[in-house]
Amino acid sequence: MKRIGYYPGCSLHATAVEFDTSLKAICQHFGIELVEIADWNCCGSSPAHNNDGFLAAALAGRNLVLAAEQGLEELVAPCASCFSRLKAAQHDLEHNEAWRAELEKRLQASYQSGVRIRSILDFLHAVIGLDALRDRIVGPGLAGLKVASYYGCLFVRPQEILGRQEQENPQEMDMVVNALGGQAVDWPFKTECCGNSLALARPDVAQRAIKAILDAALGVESDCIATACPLCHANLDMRQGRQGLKMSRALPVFYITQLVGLACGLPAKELGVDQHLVSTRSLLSAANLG
Amino acid sequence: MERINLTQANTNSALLAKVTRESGQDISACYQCGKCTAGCLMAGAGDGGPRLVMRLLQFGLLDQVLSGKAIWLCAACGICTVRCPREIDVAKVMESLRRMARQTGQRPAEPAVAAFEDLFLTCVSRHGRMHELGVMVAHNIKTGRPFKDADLGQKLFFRGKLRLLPSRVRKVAAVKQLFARTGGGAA
Repeated sequence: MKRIGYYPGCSLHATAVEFDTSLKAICQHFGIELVEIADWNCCGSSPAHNNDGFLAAALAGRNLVLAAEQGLEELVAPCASCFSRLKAAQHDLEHNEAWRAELEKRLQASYQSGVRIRSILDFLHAVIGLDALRDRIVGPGLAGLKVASYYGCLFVRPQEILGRQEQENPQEMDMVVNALGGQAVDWPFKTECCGNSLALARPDVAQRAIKAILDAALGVESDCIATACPLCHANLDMRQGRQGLKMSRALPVFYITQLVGLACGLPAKELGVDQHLVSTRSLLSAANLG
Repeated sequence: MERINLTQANTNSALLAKVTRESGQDISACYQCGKCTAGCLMAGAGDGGPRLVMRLLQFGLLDQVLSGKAIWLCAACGICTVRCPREIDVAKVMESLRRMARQTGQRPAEPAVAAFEDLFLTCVSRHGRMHELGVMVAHNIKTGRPFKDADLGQKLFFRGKLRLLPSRVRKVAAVKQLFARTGGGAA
C-alpha cells in the first residue's frame, strides 16, 4: 500500500467535509494510505500573508517541519489555499535564511527542505494516475456528463512559486474528467477568481465574480462544475440561488474527488454528494451515477 | 474619468522607496496599459483598480493609496501579475501596500475586510486552527450584521458542515509564538 502524508487544513474538517470524505473513499479504493500530519495547524491562508510575511511562512512552515519529523517525504494538500501557502512557505524558507533560522528558533526544531507538496490534481495524476483511473471506471463512468473544470486561482498562480508555464488554460482537471469518461467542456472562466473571502466581507463584490463564472458554465451548457478548492466550492455552491445569483437552472458543483468516486462506482453517500446546497440528485440519477 | 490631484505629488518619498523595497517591484516600469485592471474582479467595486494604484504610486501619492479601498478589495488572485507585460508582480505590490496600511494604524477603508482578517488570525493564534463558524459569527457581530447568512448557517448545520466547537492544536503555544512580530523584511 502506498503511503502519503495528508494535510487536510481547517475547511476539510467543516464546510468542505465532503472533500475529505470523498478523498478518503477514493484512496481506500485505490489502495493509498493517507497519513494525517499529527498536530497540524492552520496554513494562515490569505489573512496571514496579507498582514505579515514571516507569519505566513511560519504558520505553513510549522506543518512542513512536522511532516519531515514524522518521516513524510511527500504530502497531499487538497485545499487549493493550503497547497498554495505550503508551497509559498517552502519557497520562502528555502530562499530566506533569516526567516528559516527564526522559525527554527521559535519551534526549537530544524526545518528540512524538500518535502514534496502535491495539490489534489497533482495527486490524481502522479499518485493514482490517469491509466489507473481509466481501469477502475465502472460501466460508462461519467459518460454523457458535460463538466466545466474550474481551477480558480491557486492551482496556477503565482508562477514564481509554482513554476507553471500554462497560466490561463490549465488541463489537469479536464484530463481527469475525460479519463473518467466525462466530457470536459471548453470554457473561458477556468482560472477566474471566485471572490475569495470577499463573499463574507463584501458579498456584493464576490457576487459579481460568482455570477460571471456560473453564467459562463451555463453558457456552454455544462451539466455541472468540478472544483478542487473549498472556498471556490463554497462560493459557487452555497451562494448559488441566493439573491442576485438565481440562475436559469441549478448547476451542481462537485469536488473532483467526488467525480472520481462516482465514476468508480463508489456509493454516493460515502462521497458526500448530498451535503451540497445545490441538489445533485436529479443530475446523478439521470446519469445513472451513485 | 478619475481626477488625480498632482499638487501633493512627491516622487522622492521615502515611503515610496519602501513600497519598492517591500515588494521588490519596480513601480516606474508600469506603462499604464491597463491589462491588470481589465482582468481584475474588484476594479469596478471600489475606487479604481491596480492600474490606478500603480499610477498614484508613480506620482508619489502613497497616502491616497493607503487610505483607499483598492488595496483592501484585492482578493490576491494574482491575475494582474500573470498578465502584466512589464513583468511587474502587481499582486505583490498590493500585498505590500496592505501590510503598510496596517502599519500606519489608520482605519481601513474597507473595515469588514480588515475585520475578517483580524478575526481569522485571532482564532488561529488562539486555537491553532481556523474555526469557520466562530469567525463567521464574530464577523457578523463586529460588522453590525448579526443575522447575515443565518439561513445559510442553518442549511450547513443540517448538512453536517458546521463544526460547533473549534478544533484545537495540541501544542497551541508553539503556534502562538509564531505570531510575535519580527520587524518586517521581504521574502
